Amino acid sequence: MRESLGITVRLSDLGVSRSDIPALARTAILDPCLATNPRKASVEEIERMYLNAF
Amino acid sequence: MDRSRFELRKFVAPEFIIGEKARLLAGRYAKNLGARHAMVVTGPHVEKAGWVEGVVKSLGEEGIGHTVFDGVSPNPRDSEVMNGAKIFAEDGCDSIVVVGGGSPIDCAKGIGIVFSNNRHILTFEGVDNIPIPPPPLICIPTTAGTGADVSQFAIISDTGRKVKIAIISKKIVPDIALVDPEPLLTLSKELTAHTGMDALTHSVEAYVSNASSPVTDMYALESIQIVNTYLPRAVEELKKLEWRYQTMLGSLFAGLAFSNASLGAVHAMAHSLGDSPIFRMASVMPSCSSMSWSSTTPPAPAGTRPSAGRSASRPRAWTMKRGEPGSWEPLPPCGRASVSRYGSPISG
Repeated sequence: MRESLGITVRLSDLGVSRSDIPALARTAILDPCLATNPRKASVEEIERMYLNAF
Repeated sequence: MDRSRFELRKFVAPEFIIGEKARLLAGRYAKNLGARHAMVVTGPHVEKAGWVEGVVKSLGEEGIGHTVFDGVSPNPRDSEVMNGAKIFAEDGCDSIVVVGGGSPIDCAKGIGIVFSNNRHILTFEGVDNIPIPPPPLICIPTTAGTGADVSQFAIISDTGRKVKIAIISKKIVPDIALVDPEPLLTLSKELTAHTGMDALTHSVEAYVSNASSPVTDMYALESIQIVNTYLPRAVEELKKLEWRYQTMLGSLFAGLAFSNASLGAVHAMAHSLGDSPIFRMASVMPSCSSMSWSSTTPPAPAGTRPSAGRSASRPRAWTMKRGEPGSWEPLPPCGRASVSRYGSPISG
């Protein structure tokens, strides 16, 4: 659906570099929204998810 | 067993009116709320497109004065909130009417919080940290995605730490939302697509949330259906009011769902990106959330999730698989919002 809507932007297009990802993950894990995520995520897992969107 | 079936669940929603020209009721409702001088919070693009004019006129017709505040950037900054609160006090404002997308709405919520409590906006981070209720707030959304017009969330950029903070409280649920599809007619193709994907992410995260309930499921599932059907049509035909109405309805339902069930990893990761627009982030992130998206994933087993089972029988392009209900464990203390408190949907 994303692609059919013409949304192809990746994290790298937004000016994020790979070296930013560990710090982003450390901040994300403190976000209140994560409390209601159906699965508990580790910092490493969040880093992997950022990499998927890179 | 499905642990959500017998747990206490609360549902908070503002009064809202949805339909063509709903925005022009701003004056009447501001008067009902006792307003004499409203701050009109908006953004330059919305103002230029002419959507503020009718709202201001409706205030004037009820004898209500106004101050326009449009010093809001995408992703409202702490400094903008503080500046808005200063002007609010200086001009003797007593209420807020906001015409705009998620950024002006969140900024307006922040202005109200700071005015009532007389403290820096960043001190209200987390859940239920607002002692004194803000002044009356009327929201007129101009994008179909934010959900901020009905939610108990405000997201503010902390310019010092370069992250977005979440302020979550029943006290920032607006007094009324005037949900009008007409302002969407001037929204670009790109913004239509990105904000629509934000609405879809709200619904999906609310549906798989640990704090979901049969009531939030109803809104989340219906929203997914609506957005999935009508967002592509709206992107294709930007000027067709019917598609715009449907995407607005989808966004409204998504807002009601996530405001009460909360969100998940996608938004946590988007907030961490700070000044990168949340909707862009949301739009690149569906593959990152902890559920499985698939056109072949079977619906939830019968009896475990009645609303999911029922809705899964309806034709839809996507079905989804939840995370294991019992797999969630509280996160370690992090010095932010209390997770256990946040996890309780009846707090506050």
